[in-house]
Amino acid sequence: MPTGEDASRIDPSVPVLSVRDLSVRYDLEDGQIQAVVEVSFDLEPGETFAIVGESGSGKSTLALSLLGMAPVTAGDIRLDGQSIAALGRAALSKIRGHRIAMIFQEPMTSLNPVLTVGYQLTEAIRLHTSLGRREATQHAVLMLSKVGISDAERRLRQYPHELSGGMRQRVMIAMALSCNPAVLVADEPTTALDVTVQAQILDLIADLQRDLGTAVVLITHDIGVVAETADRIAVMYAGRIVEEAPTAQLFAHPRHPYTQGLLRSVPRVDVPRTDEPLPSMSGSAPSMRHVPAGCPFRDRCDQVHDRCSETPPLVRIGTDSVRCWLHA
Amino acid sequence: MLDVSTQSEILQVESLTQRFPIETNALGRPTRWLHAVENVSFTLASGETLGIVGESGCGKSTLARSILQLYTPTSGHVRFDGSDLGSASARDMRELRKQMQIVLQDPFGALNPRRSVGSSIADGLGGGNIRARVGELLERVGLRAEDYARYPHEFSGGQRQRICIARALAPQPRLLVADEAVSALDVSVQAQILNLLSQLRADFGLSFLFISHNLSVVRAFCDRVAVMYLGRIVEIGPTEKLFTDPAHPYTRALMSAVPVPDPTRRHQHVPLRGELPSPLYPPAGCAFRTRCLYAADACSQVVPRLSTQGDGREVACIRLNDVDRGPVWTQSKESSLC
Repeated sequence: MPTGEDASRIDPSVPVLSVRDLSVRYDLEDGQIQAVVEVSFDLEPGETFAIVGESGSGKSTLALSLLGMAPVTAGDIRLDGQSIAALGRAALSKIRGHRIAMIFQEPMTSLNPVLTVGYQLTEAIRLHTSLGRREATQHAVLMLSKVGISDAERRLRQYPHELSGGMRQRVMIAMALSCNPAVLVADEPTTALDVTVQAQILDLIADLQRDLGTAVVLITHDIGVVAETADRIAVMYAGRIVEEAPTAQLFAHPRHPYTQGLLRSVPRVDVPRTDEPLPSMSGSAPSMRHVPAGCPFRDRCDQVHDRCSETPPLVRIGTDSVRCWLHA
Repeated sequence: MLDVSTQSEILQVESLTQRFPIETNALGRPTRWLHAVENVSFTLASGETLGIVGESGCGKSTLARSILQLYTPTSGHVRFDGSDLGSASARDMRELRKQMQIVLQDPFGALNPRRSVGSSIADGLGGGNIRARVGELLERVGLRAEDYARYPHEFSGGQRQRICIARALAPQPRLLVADEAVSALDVSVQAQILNLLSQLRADFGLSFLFISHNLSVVRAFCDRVAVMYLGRIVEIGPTEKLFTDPAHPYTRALMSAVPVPDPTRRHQHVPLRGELPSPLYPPAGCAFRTRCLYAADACSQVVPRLSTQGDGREVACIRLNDVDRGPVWTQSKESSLC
């Protein structure tokens, strides 16, 4: 439920994560970058909510802000009903990894190269539970086998460089899920992986999600991945959510001209080549330092009109919401 | 799309093998080799586009560099327009290189940040009237002639890739090797660059070796496709044949793993066993057998050869008759885009 407090009160299921009017700004020596602008969404328990966008759309900053790791300037993030903005450093560390966990694109840079897999995995478990060293190791072995790593005891003694990319991402997932968090934030979790490994990792995340009831915020640029995994999708452009809808709905009836252009320009592996040019959008996304006033997409939009120099509101239409004057 | 039968061949690759020594003994003799490309043969017709696909480490980029003689092949032959590149003199090679250009993945690393884009492009031009001809090239790739004096950092990623393409076109090549040339670009920009390459291909009659891990892009751009696994081609043939009815068990697994951007379409992942073996220790016999659902004892005995299938494709698999065939994507009832 992206808009309005009323909607969330009517809805019987309580969102596990609730984001309201969130803005994030980076202050630089020579200016400011408004990376996230007035973003709102709710995450239901167990669902997969995808945030798609191109480079520089602010999607990774949004992901970091969910764990209290970005300079939030306005808005509120509630995890289990508790505002994380109000939490101090110590309280934040307690919920990170325990209630909300994150995996990144490049597992090699997220793992410490000089510590064994076992050390890093048990450290996370011991930090958030009362388990002793031996029980923590047992739990680590269990987690590794859950993510499909056979011969787990040997793997615990290995260093990250001894594992393949897919194996390292499995370790990251095991680590992220070891304390059974309510929310997993996955920022481009399969982008660095080959497609056959990607398919395995996506299947794995879906299986674990079913078993553990984890809700997933999936950040990705890959339209194919969201079509196969997401329950709902938010499309980001220049720091704003420009459209949000259930997956089937978004693909069948994209409302925002950017969403329409994005879905059209994705080449499809299941569609034969034609002699026609591929549908494409003109130009490229604006630099986040110089976002045009009004609708940030208007310079590239084929349906632009006078109204677009004003900022369009987010409008709710049934299960969808869209930020475009064509629908206001 | 191209009728290959009437065209002459611009590139012939015969039994090309590229190994790299990774350990030497006290006398400097190699004792261990990395098998990057093993016994690869194919031909490319003039004006044709061959896609080379496979996962990281399968040898597709090394194959391109061996063909261009950027590495000295361990064995085998590459003929460009009839000339054997391995035995060409340095002077002949200089002329031949102009006709074979490469566009790389990263348009940030491929341009000298301290030179204006115009002077980078001018490197590939001989003769006079350089400035006007660079201006023409810039306009050909969708930029402005006035961009001559600007520097790479002033351009976006997509624009930089256009500059790299203009630079590759400068010496009037006949063969363009695109090594993941659109992989670093956002989808909205990727489509623009693919359309540009298609236009240039038609206008200049360019032949392409199009190396990519992105099968969707390959289907949209290539006449034929070669699938590589651990340094070898396992299947090669007309694009539509491979995509509508992939034959080799690896081709089937690879294609079925590609996510389809349409939630109404469902497809079954063809599972793969285990992990990709190290190219330092490729399995004996068929390199794919350790991950193949159809592997039998015989697969470890001999390296399967590419054999012609009668529909214009070649497949290297001794168990081909037992493979469960057919399309890996099922048609949906309400797909809006087909």
